[in-house]
Amino acid sequence: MAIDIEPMLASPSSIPIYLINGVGTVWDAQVAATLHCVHGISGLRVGTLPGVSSQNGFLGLPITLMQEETAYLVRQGIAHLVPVNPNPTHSLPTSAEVQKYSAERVRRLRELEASMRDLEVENARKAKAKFTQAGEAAAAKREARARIRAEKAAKGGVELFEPEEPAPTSKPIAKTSLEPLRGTHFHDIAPHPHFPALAHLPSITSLPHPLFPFPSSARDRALLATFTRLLSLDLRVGLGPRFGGEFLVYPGDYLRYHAHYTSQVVVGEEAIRPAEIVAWGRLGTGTKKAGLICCWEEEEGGEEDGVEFYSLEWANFG
Amino acid sequence: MVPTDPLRTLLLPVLEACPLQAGSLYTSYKDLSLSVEWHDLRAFVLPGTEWAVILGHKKRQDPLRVVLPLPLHTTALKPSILKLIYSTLASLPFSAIPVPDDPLVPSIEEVQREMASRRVTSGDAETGEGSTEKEKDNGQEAAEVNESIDRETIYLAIVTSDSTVVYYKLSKGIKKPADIPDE
Repeated sequence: MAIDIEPMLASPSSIPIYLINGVGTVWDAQVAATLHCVHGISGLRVGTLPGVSSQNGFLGLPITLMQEETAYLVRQGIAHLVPVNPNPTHSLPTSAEVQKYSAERVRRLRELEASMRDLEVENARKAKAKFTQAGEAAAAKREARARIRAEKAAKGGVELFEPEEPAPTSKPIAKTSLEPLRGTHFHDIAPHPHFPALAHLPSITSLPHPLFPFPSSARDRALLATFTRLLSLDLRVGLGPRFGGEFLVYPGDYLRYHAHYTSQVVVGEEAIRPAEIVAWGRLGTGTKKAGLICCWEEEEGGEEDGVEFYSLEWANFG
Repeated sequence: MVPTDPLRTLLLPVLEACPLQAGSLYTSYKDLSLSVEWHDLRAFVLPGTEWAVILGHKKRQDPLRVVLPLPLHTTALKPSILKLIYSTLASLPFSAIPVPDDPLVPSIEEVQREMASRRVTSGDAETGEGSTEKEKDNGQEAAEVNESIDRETIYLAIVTSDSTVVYYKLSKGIKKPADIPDE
């Protein structure tokens, strides 16, 4: 199969996914949130947090993505892959670089905090102005004030109109100098030794690629087609091996729901053995899940959308 | 002379047409009739396929359900076969469905009717009115039989070498598990 290594330009809004030893990773919290909330891709948090002893429950960034998640994001034009040099001995930062990166990170965080504070102040001012205009109490107060002024004026020698309170000065919102997260990186990326040009635009936008050879086989195409189809049905897909399946399928956000299905992927005309059906059915019964048999057949013309679904449960008798 | 097995005689045409499923068909038919106590069983070959199915009622008010007998270790079931079976079921006309076979043993209701009629013939005057009530029950029972077919679900009757039959429900499409409440 000819592998396209002449990449297309990534779109300006394309998310960079950093490819480390063939695994797609996400290192930015906003990107992780966007992928989770907007695109239904959650990945797996693998970062350990310093000072937290219970690592299993409190893993953080980076997020590693399944190969299906990575390929889906690239094929849908949502993300592109930036290969990173996997050999750390040649690219460990110097202490000066560490200080520089840390200072930049702190500066960016402070700018973000400042812009959020300004936004809060602006919102509070708008809310107050709105209340002042609409409030009955404020109207009554104005009438009372006007009455008092009129009385004073009647007594003579007093200005009818009190000088208005100066309008609260609105501090202009500081324009952050955060670089847009589009095709550039927070820091310099040590390029991959075999594809040095891919550290910067253009990056990997077409799969498979020598650094990410998925999907290559028929089974790969079946997995990706099943994954894509399930996401198109507003279902979420996670790793399935701990439940004896290929994927776990959730009816929505995995933080809200348990998985409803443990899926098995059948490629082309593979035999579906009754003994496997018993095993898949038993796996589901004890875990409040149904088995989902996903039968993929390669369509003519290279279309990968031919997936038939069958739901499997124990019949509850016999 | 070896006595003939009435069930074998009944199923012979289907057993000969589908040798791959012969053993599992025979065992699962008997299991459905005697152990699981389904009603109105009939076995036939799905038109246009080489696969035999059993149709019957789990409960008479429920639609007719389709059972596909399979030996445990067969490798003959492929995705294209499943697709063919479901598409054949979807368009199966009622005229292609045979009438129910005679049950292998009388049902509970029939035994109760038989016992009631014996009480009547034994000369008990009080049961005259009771037998009329029983006849009304029979009529009502017949009226409750649901003759529609569940075309979206197949029950796989998987038969092992020790004659154990396990049943799994295979529904077309993505169907939520039964034991998960609606959210």
